[in-house]
Amino acid sequence: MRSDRISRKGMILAGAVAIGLWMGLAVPVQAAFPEKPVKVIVPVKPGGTIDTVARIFQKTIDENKLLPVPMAVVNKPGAAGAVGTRTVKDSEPDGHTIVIFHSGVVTAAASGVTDFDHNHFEIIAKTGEMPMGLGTAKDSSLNTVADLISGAKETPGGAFKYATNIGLPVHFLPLMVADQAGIKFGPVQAGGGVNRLNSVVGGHTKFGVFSVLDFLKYDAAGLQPVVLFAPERHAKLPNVPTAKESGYDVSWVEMRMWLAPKGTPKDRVDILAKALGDAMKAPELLKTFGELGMDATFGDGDSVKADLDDRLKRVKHIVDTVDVQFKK
Amino acid sequence: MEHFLAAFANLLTPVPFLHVLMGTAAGVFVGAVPGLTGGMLIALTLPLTFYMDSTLAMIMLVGMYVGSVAGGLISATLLRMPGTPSSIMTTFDGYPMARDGRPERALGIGIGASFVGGITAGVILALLSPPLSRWATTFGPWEYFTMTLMAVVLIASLSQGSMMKGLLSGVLGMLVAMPGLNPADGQLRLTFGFHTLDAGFKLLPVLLGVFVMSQVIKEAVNILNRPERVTMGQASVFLRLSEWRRHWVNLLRSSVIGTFIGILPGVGSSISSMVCYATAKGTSKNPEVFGTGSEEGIVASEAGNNANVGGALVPLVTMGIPGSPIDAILLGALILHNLQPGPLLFINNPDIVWAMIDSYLLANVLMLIIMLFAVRIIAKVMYIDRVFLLPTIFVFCMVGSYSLGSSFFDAAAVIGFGILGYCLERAKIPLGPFVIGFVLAPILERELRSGLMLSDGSYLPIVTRPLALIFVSVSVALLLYPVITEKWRKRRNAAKQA
Repeated sequence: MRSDRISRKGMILAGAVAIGLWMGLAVPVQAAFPEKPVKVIVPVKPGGTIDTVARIFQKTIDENKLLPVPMAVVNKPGAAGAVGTRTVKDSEPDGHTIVIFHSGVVTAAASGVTDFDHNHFEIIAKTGEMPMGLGTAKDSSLNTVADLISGAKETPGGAFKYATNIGLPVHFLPLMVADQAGIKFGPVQAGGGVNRLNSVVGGHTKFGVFSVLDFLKYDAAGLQPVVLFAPERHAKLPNVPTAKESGYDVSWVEMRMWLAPKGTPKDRVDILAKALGDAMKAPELLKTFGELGMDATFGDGDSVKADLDDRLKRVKHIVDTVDVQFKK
Repeated sequence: MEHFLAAFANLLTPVPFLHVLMGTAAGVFVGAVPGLTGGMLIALTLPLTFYMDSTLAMIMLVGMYVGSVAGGLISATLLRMPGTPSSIMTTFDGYPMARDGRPERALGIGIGASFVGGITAGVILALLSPPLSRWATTFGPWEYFTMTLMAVVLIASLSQGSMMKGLLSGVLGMLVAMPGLNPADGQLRLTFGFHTLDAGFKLLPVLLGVFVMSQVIKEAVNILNRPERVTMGQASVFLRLSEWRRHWVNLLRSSVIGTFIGILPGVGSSISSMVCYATAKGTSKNPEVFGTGSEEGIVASEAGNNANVGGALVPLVTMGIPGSPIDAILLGALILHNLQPGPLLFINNPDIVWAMIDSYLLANVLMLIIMLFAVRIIAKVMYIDRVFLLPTIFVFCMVGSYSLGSSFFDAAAVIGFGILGYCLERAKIPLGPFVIGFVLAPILERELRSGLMLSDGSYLPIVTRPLALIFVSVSVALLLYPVITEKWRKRRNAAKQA
């Protein structure tokens, strides 16, 4: 009986010690990040550029063990990216759910589609850039920005039309040029890159905004670049002037950026940013970037935030002064 | 031509060939099983192709399309039950022939007619599409708007049953397309504050619901119904070429009519086969045999519905406008694979377009071989018990819709649209116009709003642009035609009585 009791007491004691030890061990283990797979929400359909970029990062990070846990890419498309970005905004801010997107987060907020912008997130980093520019049909007589401006002067009041995807950066860039030139361009909704291409090449609109990749891909279809909204000329399109050279201070380099929910601890954001930055040194990733026509530039959260703040200000200026469509 | 040949050479390499073969065989089988339709198969396969190579995915889906329309012939003949809706007309003559002890001959004629219809349409597809797509690049928003409008009216007025019900179904489909991000001004609408609705109802859940889940419900409700059946005898399904001699006019006429009805946007194979059947009956020397086992009837119906498949691919690959409800799924497949449908598809992705066109021709050849040699096997296995089939399909529906956007809302939407589709069918409201309306409403709206942006708010281009004027006039005529003929008939009847 006695020995029984002792042994029971001993067992309880041993159990308590064990639990204590386990807890003691467990606390630092739990604090380690990441402890479970990092879910990357891609707010577009499978197959697009953002999706491809997300997946090449997933592959590179997993294969080179840049994070101790696997990454899981989940597509949540819809409403021009608003569905997926909103999901992440409302997720647990523990660094295990993040989103990859582009500067549409700023234009969507400015045009009132979403009630949140980049300030509702912790910005992890930007990985990769792609300059945007204006393009016209090769068989048109519009070969420079000056041609577009004088065209708009000849047909005033917004009768000089451009193909666009309303609410996204491609909608606002021509309006920024027009604002500085003191003229009006009329937006015509076309949709994604190919739809804008069709509208421009088919002669229904005079010009549209396209990415460097679009210019390279749609050369055969009859698209020509007129100007790039980049700080300097692009290596693959050396003959295309920048907006600054043409006399307009408009710059908009599209980027792929990674966001975490607001309140995600700084050290976790840094761990993720480091993994992304390291992944960008991998040769297979750089090869994919080359195929996508993207420049492999990396930028940390603070620099991206300053950039996005500036873009939001510029787009808001357009929404407030030029484009009346979004005034409620 | 070089694209055509290059794509064909590629199709004959093992991997693409196997995909077309797999698709066609699956299509024939599903088409033959009563209660399973080609639309069902293609909608269910779509989520499985997300991570497949786009070309392989598209050629497999085209194979399924061809196979399923042809496969419907088997159950139409042996069970008097169309395996797919497009074989309804075949039941009228195929089953009586089978019952009279000639099932092999009925099947042989149907198979041959399907093949000729398919190949004729394939040739027209390959010849007509490139120039049409070049012409279509000059189409602006107004042309697209009026053409799409015509498609909506066309499908409503030509669909089975009354025109009012067709229109009702089309309008319901359009309403379902309304919530979500408004493409024309980038604003959310009709989401009632539910963020799950920000993206609206997606195509795949709607398709799976209307095409698949509604049929699952219908079959589950009628699970105890067992159709009468005719078993095949020993006679051969192979017909001697000389036996085709008296059918060749009918064959060719039905194939061409079927193809061109297919090209009309929005009109499916059932209507094609009806028109061909009616034409064959109208021009036949023995119209009284139609409906009691006429070989001519089978030829017209089967050549017509298979030719329709090829015709319906024309507006899909040249303009991005679905030629039939199943093409609406193929359109969705192109978009899911990030291939923007439209006239520039021929320039930007010639490999894909030509692979689709060539796979259509190849699938017809494979269909002929599969049907001729495996018809006996298919005729045996098509009685597969629905008790095993329906739960499997249900699970595939749920998994497929969830995988699209990792959202339970989509899975719930499938069930919701399934119930809606079942109720609509019970009320004899056709489902084709619903899907077409759902797919075309965003196109209609986008093009109209673009057009208005171009013209600064003026509707005048509808009448000043010649093509737009033609399309609108045809739409109006189609709407008024039934009303006017009704009036004439009444007047004539009144005159007779007086």
